[in-house]
Amino acid sequence: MASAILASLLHPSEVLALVQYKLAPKTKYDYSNNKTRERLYHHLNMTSRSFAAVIQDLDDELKDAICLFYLVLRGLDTIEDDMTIDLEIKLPYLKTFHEIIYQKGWNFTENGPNEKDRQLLVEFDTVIEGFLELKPAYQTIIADITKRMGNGMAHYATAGINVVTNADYDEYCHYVAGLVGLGLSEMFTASGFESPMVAERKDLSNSMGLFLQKTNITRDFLEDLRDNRRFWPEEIWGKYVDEIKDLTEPENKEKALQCLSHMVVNAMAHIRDVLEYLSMIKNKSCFKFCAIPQVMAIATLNLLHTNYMIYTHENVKIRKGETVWLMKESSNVDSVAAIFRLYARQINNKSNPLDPHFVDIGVICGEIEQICVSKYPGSTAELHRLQAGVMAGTSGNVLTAAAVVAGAIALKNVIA
Amino acid sequence: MTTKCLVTGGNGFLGRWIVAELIKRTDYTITILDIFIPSNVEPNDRITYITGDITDAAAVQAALKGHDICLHVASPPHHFPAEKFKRINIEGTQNVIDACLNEKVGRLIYTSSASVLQDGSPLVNADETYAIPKTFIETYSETKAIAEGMVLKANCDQLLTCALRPSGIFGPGDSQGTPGFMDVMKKGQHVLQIGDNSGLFDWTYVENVAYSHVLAAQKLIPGSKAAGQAFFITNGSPVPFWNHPRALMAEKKVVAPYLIIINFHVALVIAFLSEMASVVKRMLGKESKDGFTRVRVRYIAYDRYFNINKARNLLGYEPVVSYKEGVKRTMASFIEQEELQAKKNAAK
Repeated sequence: MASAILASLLHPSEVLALVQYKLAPKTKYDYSNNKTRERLYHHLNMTSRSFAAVIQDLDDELKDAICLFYLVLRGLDTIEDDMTIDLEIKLPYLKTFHEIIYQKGWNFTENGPNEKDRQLLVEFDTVIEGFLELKPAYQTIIADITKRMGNGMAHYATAGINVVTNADYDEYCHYVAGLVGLGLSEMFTASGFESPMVAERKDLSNSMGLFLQKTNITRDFLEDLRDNRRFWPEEIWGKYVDEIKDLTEPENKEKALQCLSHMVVNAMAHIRDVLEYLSMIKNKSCFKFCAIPQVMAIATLNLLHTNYMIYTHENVKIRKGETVWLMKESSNVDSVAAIFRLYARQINNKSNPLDPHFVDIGVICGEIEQICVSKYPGSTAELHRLQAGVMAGTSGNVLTAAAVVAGAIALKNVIA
Repeated sequence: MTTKCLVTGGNGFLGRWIVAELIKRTDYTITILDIFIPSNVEPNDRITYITGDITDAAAVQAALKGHDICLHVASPPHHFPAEKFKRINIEGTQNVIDACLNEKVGRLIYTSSASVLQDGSPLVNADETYAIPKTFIETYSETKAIAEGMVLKANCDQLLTCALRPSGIFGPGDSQGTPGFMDVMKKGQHVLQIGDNSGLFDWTYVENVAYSHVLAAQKLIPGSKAAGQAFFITNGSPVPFWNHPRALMAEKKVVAPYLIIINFHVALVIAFLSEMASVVKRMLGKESKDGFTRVRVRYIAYDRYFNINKARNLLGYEPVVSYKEGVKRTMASFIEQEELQAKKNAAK
């Protein structure tokens, strides 16, 4: 906590958010009256850092369904991910996982000892038990997405992940993230919280997943390179270097930064869909559930843009204070739109005019503004409120800082 | 019989692009009416040249005789004195309207300006439902708004009219915006930035503006919903104001080594002092140009962008050259011109 506050020292609203977060009474979820639920949420907390909180804040109608959706896909992923399992053993599981989840008592103990989520599969009978208690509509949606994702995984496990064109990149991200968006939208609609339109706009649901996945893929370049995974499309990096690993060579720094901004532009292209999707979501808890990961992604992109660190350090992450602040502010569409505008402006102002994507970034930034102004007119007032406490490095902030210091001195005198 | 189309100001920056688009996209025969026609032009079977002053009613009427369409593009550049704006924009436009009615010209398309809404306040995604302001901050915008009102009011069964309101036209041959930014760069003033670069501005590549004129000429037929209407015309890609000069300079591989960001309110105070200084200078009988004014500060720090859905829906307009491509083409031509000029100078 202390180090988080220290890191946010130049960002007064983050310090406030951190303190508020620390002092707020922790919502304790009590599942002790139901052994299965208790185990399920235990697994959720063990397997997901980022999703556990937002899932548990969902309305009861959707909470268990989405928790199980997450655990089923996590189970599938744990089989796919484990390189100690032979391909011919693995493939049938990937292809039939959507049937396995209907088999009471099934579990899986063949994961290697180092597989971090192996315990989930060892106790998978609990997940199946929970799954079978869900409303049939939710079961169908989960099984359908599991089937499609399992087949996608089987394809990539057999043929290898070979992301050549931008279309390959979109396709890969569709299988690993877009499908999750599709499934969630269908569940929102099935719950009655959201209109049928939410499930119908599959293009927008897909973009919700793609924006998150592309941000992660951009951030995790070095880690993926080390583990021999290549997700950046050759159609992009091939413009700058001959071999993807050359991006990390110091003499290619300028090219590497151009390649990075190309990846950023590619991800940012989904923002218009993200904003349109969010405008359809009416239920408050669904909205937060959808919006929080998206604002984290734009904040992360802002951190990555023009940041050579992604080629030298693994684990480039936004500050804890920033995360807490974003979660606090993502409660309604106007603030979320304002957050997007805020970060889009920062991304634009950081861009190097000599970068080949300078103009593209400006155009996307303008587009985000234009969409927000017409779809969320309230976002302008929100933006001014957020800016009052956030923006570092502008002259306005110097004035704010001076006011804060003056206020502190006045307060000290009053207290003395 | 082919359609005959007259373009006033057809030898100007925008006018020449409109003529080129008409040649490319239509089978019209074209008459260019301009106060200045270069001596080296060669008329051909599609283009006729007439030298004439738009403020001369008789000359305008004589020129328009036998035409089906009039594209009224002529307008003085921004640095002209106020009384010229009134003469050319208002009286000149009245001459054109009268001549169209007398000579039974069926369609009149007026090149208006997005600045007809310019009253000094921000224009955020503004569309054609915005009322023309009661007060203006500069004569140019005011006279354009009055002329536009006259043209639209003249719309009737015999003469179909419409007005196009482009914003921030730039492109090869542009004598105001692009060279202006290049001068700023030469003076080293490109390190200055007023405001936080959050204001969006609509820059429009000249070929898109020219294309919209062709569409308007073709769409303005009896029963058309476009008749009597005004349309904003932009690239549909507003960008943060300071991005534009930076993008232009980047084509010359120039980037500011550092930035000095002047707070918007501070800039307003400086501009006020500068205006005071020029007032005093003039009172003392000295020459003084309005350089740094509060109007300009607002112009570059505020949002100034438009919604072009009406042009999309009623004219079928969609930009044909992207903003990015427009920047590239503009600077390629500008650099070429500069090199030609340098060679000429060297030859001397």
